[in-house]
Amino acid sequence: MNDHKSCMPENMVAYIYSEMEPAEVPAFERHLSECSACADEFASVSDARLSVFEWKRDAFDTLAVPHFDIPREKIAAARVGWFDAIVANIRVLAGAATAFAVLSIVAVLGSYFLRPTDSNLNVAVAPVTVPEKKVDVAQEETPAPVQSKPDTVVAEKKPVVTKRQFAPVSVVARTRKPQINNSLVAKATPTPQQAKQKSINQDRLPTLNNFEETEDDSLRLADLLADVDAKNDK
Amino acid sequence: MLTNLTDAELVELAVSGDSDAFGEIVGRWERKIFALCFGMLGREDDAKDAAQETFIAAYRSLSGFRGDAKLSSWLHRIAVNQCLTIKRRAKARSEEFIDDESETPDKRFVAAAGKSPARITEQTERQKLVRQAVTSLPVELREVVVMKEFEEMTFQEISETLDLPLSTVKSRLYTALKQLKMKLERVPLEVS
Repeated sequence: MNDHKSCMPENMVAYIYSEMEPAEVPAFERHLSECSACADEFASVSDARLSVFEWKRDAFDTLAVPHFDIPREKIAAARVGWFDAIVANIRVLAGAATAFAVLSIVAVLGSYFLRPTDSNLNVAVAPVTVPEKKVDVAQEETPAPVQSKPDTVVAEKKPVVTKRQFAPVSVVARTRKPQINNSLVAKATPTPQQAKQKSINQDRLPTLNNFEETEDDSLRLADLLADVDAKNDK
Repeated sequence: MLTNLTDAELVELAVSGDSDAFGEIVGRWERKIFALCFGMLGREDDAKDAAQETFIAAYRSLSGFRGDAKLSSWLHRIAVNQCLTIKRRAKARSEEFIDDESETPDKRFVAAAGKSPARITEQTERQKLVRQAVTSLPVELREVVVMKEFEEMTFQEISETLDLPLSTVKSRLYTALKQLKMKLERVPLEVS
């Protein structure tokens, strides 16, 4: 019985390429062996398929697979474009910002805790005992010549200052003359009047690099003590 | 010249004992028979064996050939049966490769084989014709042929790639092969 249904084009190509359903193969083959027309048709289609197969085998399969060698540097340069550049810059900026923030915080904290205050200075000269004698405020001007050249004074008097600094201030206070005591008293516990005068004097006195008067006091004190000693020796 | 004779005339000569006449028959139809066997078996070596078996069987039963049918059709049916026999034999042995343990076929009936210069030229010309025929196909047919033959995709994969129904893919391939057949038969193959 010729059953041309099994010889439909779809079944024919499916059979040629071995993709027919296994259950349909026996019926197809049986019909192919019995039907000359379908066998001729099958042979015709198979011949065309064989031509393409041979062409592919002889002209294409023998070709070497092309290898495209694209320089990596160019690819990297092409890909590291604006996006990567932006990312890199963001990282740099983030790092710099972080460092700046840390430094700023450290600076603020350091300026807060390490700022020079009166209480701090008083602690530095803590063992000072306030002499009872009042001091003429006008005597405050005596340190002026010393202060006019603070750099040279500092450079010259350093060794002396070093020695004097470790001596108890109370002992130093007893050996001083009244005019010397003025600066010592002003330094130790300034009265409100003295503090006011001091501020006035500070306005008058030339300052170098905005140094505090208290800083120069210690140096002037050393100088004056040195003078006293020298005079005593004489 | 035997080349000018028709198939029926060649059969008569072959039946009368003219071996050259059957050789001419083999030369005329070997490719088509081989193509049919290749279509059925899918392997070149198996197809060659099947084609050889076909011509051996045809020579043995040449006297039973009647002139009412075309020689090609007769040969086709013999080839189909040979292929089915080989398939059943392979299935029974559960072998992928089929060893042809039959006797050495009569080489008198085998057309000129080997890579003769004429053969090479013929193949080169045929490749050129096939390439022209494939490239001249409509795009929708060409792509199916290329995807099936060159990329070796399954029908399902082609269907998914082209977003076409499975039946459409198969019918397009069938149409493409038919058109290729017509194009190749239209151009006479001249071997210088």
